[in-house]
Amino acid sequence: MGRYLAQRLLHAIFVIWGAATLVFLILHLSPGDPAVNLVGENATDEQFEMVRRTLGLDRPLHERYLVYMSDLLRGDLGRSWFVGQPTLDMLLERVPDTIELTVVSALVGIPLAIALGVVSAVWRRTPLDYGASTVALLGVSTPNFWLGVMLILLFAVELRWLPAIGRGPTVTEALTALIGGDGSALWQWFRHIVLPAVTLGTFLMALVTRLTRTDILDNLGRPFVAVARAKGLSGAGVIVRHVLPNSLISVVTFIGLEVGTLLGGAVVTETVFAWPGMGRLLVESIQRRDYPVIQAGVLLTSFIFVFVNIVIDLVYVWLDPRIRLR
Amino acid sequence: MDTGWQRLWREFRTNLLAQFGAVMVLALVICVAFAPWIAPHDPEDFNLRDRNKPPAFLEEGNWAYPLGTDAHGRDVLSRIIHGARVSLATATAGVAIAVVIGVTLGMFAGFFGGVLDSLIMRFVDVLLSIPLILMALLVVAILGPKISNIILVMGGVGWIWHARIVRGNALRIREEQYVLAATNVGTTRIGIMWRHVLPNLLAPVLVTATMQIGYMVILESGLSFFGITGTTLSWGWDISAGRKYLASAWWIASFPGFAIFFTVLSFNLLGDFLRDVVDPHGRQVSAG
Repeated sequence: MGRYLAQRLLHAIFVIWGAATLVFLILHLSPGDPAVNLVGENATDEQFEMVRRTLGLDRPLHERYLVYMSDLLRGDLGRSWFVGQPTLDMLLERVPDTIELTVVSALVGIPLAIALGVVSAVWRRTPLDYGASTVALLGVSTPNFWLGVMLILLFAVELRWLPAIGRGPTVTEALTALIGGDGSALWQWFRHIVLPAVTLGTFLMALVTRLTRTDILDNLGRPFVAVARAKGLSGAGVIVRHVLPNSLISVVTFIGLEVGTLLGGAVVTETVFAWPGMGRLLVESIQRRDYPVIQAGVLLTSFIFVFVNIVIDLVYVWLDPRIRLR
Repeated sequence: MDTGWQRLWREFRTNLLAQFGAVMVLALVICVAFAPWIAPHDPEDFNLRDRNKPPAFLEEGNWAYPLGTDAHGRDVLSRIIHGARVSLATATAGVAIAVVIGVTLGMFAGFFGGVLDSLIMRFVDVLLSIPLILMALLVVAILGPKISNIILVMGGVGWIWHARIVRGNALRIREEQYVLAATNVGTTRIGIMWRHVLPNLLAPVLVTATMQIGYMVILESGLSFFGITGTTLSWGWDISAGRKYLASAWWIASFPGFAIFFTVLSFNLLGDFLRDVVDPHGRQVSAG
């Protein structure tokens, strides 16, 4: 168990290092000089050279890489070329909003998806199955940015029920107000988050529904189900006690691998709804070639991915005694 | 005994959803090939007198512009027909590259194992940890807004889908009796891969590639939505441009989205059908 964890941790560090190096290479091997964006086109050659020297862009590639890596090891993620603020501060300021959005999407989407998948598999080839499967198929076929625009059109422009864009109070603010006896902040929070959360969660929800259905159907055909039935267990008992625990293992692993999809979806959703999260910051930084923010942002994204997957591995160990006892 | 193709055809004739998908894909291919002849107008033709005209089925619409016009008076339908060119051509080219890289690396990883396998799979892990859309935004913004750069990202990252599936299958096939037999009669390992492993991988790769085209259409539209692909004749771009006119001309942003939706839906239907035929138990193609 301890050995397994150590291996997992080593692998995690490798992946994050790999992601950091890959992005460094893409940024620094690309043609064109990012200093041009900083000084503007009318700058003199002296100004241009000075900026390049200050940013270390005049040094050879391997030196820049070594500096980047040694800074990274000391926990220094650099400063934004445009704002001058430490990139870590800029990101940490935005991360809670992104996490709030992704967690709300996942918490609503995943249980719903598992329920739909189970219903669909258990009542296979009935109207219930066709309904759930259709929802899932439509969900995986809808581009999230368009879904967001259409939701704005329907609920904000036409019906005027919900705000089109913006953030409203954060979940912490809303809950603090609620404890103080004021429920209106929570209502405002809900009104602002519902459209972005649906936009972000639909694709994942649809994907997980399809996976759950396939996996449960696959498990229903296995010998252990026949044994459980032969013992006299009811249909529902077989599903809850034997099939679902088995299927949850593959579903949970799959969700871990889709954390990247969810974070990528957040980049798009935040742009559509002007949600002040990390995704929007990254898009802005990419557009103005703010290398330190881009590097730190990808690093953080990769870190979140790896972290969630380690947590999932631990859940996996807990769910599956075959691994726990190895 | 009938061949795989005959079975595919027999199943296809009874599967309405697959037929719908196939007809839609065929219609798209026709749009891509003959866009200038099918489209009623030039997609870039400004017509300032006919700005934001509603679609024909609404009161003020007329059949000259079946799906209405955009803020510059350009025909929405014609722009959708031409937009298919960018989306579908880019996605197909990207997936083709992804398949070649993914099958090659996945086969080597699964069949040879060892250090090569570890190296390839660790690289897959690294790519998996960075969201595809983020990677694509980054590469296209830094390397320049060109279609060729989008194809490069699609192929350069998309191969990990195929590599993972191909590797799993190669691991399984490696232990099959006929491979052991071929080894015993002295066939080289490359020979075995080419003659025995590769043909057995075609079916799962075909399924994944079909679904991936739909996924890449969404990616291309997403990048165009961000306005960084270097073309303004794309479904994603029109959705983004139409956002300003949601209150007055909802059709500008709505119809191109339906085009993406039906395109992706068609490829998903075909992919589902192929998977059910070649892999009824879901063992060769992992879900997703």
